Amino acid sequence: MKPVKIAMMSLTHGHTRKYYQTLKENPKLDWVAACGDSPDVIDLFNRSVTGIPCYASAEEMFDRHPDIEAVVLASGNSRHMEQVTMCASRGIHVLSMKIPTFDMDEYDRMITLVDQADIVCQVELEMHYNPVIHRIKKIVAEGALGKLFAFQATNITLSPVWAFPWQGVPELSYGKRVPLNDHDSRFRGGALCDHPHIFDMIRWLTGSDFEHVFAQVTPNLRTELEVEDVLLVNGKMKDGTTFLLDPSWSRLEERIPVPGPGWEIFPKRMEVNMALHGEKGVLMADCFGPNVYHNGAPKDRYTVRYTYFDEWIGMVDEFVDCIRNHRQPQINLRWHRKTIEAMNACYESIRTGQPYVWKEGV
Amino acid sequence: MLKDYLRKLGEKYAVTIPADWEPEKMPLLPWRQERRFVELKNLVTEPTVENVVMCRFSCNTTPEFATLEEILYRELDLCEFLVGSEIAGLYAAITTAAGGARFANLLVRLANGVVCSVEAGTTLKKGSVRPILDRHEMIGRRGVASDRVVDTHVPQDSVYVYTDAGTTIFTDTDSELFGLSNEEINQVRAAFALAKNPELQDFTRLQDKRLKEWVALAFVSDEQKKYLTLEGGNA
Repeated sequence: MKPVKIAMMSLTHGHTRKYYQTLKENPKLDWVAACGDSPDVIDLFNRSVTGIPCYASAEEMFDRHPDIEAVVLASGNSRHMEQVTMCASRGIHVLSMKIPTFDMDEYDRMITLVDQADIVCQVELEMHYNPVIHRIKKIVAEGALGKLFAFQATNITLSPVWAFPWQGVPELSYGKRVPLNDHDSRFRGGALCDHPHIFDMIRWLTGSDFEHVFAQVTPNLRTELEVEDVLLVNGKMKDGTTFLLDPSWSRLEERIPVPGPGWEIFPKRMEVNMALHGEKGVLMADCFGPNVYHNGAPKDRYTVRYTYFDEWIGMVDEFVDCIRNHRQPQINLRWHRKTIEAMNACYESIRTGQPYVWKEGV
Repeated sequence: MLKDYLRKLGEKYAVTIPADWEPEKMPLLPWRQERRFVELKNLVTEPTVENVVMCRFSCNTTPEFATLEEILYRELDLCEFLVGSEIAGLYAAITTAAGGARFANLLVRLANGVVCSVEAGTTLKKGSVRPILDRHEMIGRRGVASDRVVDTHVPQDSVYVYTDAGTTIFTDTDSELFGLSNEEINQVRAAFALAKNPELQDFTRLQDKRLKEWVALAFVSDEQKKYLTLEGGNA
C-alpha cells in the first residue's frame, strides 16, 4: 500500500504531540510537513520533531507540498470549520480533533462539505482504540452482562488551559461567548468541551441515544477561569439506561506553558473509569490503568507514570485504511453529531436549571 | 499462533521475518518488552527516581505457570535490566514443601552496589484468580518507583466483571496484539524486537547463559549456605 502523505495543521491542540511518534513510525504514512499557528508553537515543534518542515501558514505548506493527501487538524475548536473548508476544497482527507464544532448549523455544513468533496473525515475519539475499551466492547457484545440498565463514567483530567490557552477562551473553545446562565458570570467552553468521550461511549455501548440530560456546574476550582471547570451530568438513554457522567477538570495542575514532567498535582492526571450494570452482571473498568508509580523528580510528588497510550496507533491505522479503501471510519461526523448535540444539551440544562429532554422521534 | 501475530507486525512495520525463523527456540527475555518494566527502567535511567540503592522484587506463581528456576531466571534478569548493572553475587534460602511447592528468598548484590531482595515461589494454587502475583519496587535517594500502587500489596486490573459465575479480571495493554495473554504479547514483542534488531540476538544468548549459571548458583548457595559469586569466590 502506498504510504499516505500526511501533514499536521495549527499544532495548538493538546493532543498535538501525541501524534508525533505514530506519524513518524507508521510505515503507511509519509509525514511530509506541518504548519503552526504562531512562532512559539513552530519553535516548540522544531525542538520536538526533526526532519519535518514546519510552515507559518497552511497556504504556504500546501503550495510547497501539493502532494499532501491528508491532514491532522491539530487546532483549537474555533478553527475547524475554516480548515475543513480549506481541506475539502483541495480534496484533502481530514483527521479532526474531538470537537469539530459546537455550532450545529456549522456542523451540518461540515458534513455537506465532506460529502461533496468525497473525502474521509474521521473524528478523533481515540478511546475507541484503547485496549481496555476493546475488552469492554467484547464483553458487552458477547452478552456477558445482559442488557445494560445503568452506567457511570468519569473523564476527569487536569486543566490544559495554561498550556493551551484557547481552551479557556469561550469564543475559541465553544465558538462564541454564551453565559452559563443568567446568574453565573462564567461562559460555555470549559471542561465539558474537553471531554466528549464518555458521552460517545455510552451511546456506543448501549446502542441507544440520549432521552434526557440534567447537568450542574460547581463553583470553579480555578477561580480565574471564565469557563466552567467542574460539572456533573445525569439522565437517561432512550432505552431506559440511567447514567451519571463526570467530565470535569477536577485534578489540579502546575500552571506551566509546556506540558512535561511534574505537570500534575494529583497523582493521576487523566482518568477514564466506567461502571456498567447489566441484568446479568457488573463491569468496572479503568481505561488507563494499572500503571507504574513514583515520587521522584521534578516535584517529588507521588505520580502515576502511564504505561500505555496505544490509541493513536489504531486510530491512524483506520484513517489510512479508510483513505486507501474509500470508506468511512467508524467515528465519522454523522455518528458524532448526536454526541455534540448531547453536550450542547448539558449546557442548555445548566442554563435552565432543568433537564433537557429530547423531543419524541428526534 | 504467535508466529501469525509476529508476521502481522512484520508486514505492518516492514520488518522481514524469515519463514524458517524459530524465535521460540531462542532466549527472548520477554519481560524486557513488558511496558511496566520499560517504564520502571525509564524512571531510573532518565532519571526521575535517582540513585537507586535497593530493589525489592517478588514473583509467585502456580506450579503450572512456571517452575522456580524460570521465575528466578526472570527476576534475576529484571534485577540487571532495571538497575542496569550485572549481578556480582547472591545468597539463596530455598525450601520445598511436602506437596512439591517451592519458595526461594534471595539477596542479590549488583556490581554497582545495589542490593536486591528476590522472593520467588510456586506456592499459588491452581484455582487462584490469577496464576502470577508479582511486585517490583526500586528505592532511590530521590524517590521510589513501583509497579504496584501505594497502599496495595497485590496487582490491580483494568477490568473486573462480577457475574453469577464469579469474578473475572482482564488487563489489556496492547491494542495491536489484543486477544493474546500478557505473556504471549511479551513473547511476540520480544521476538519482533530481535527480528528488527538482529544484533541483539548475541546479547540475549549471552545473557541466557549467564542467567542460567546464576540460577544454578542460587541452589548451590542454598545447599552450601554460602554467599556466592559467579567465579565461585566470596564477593
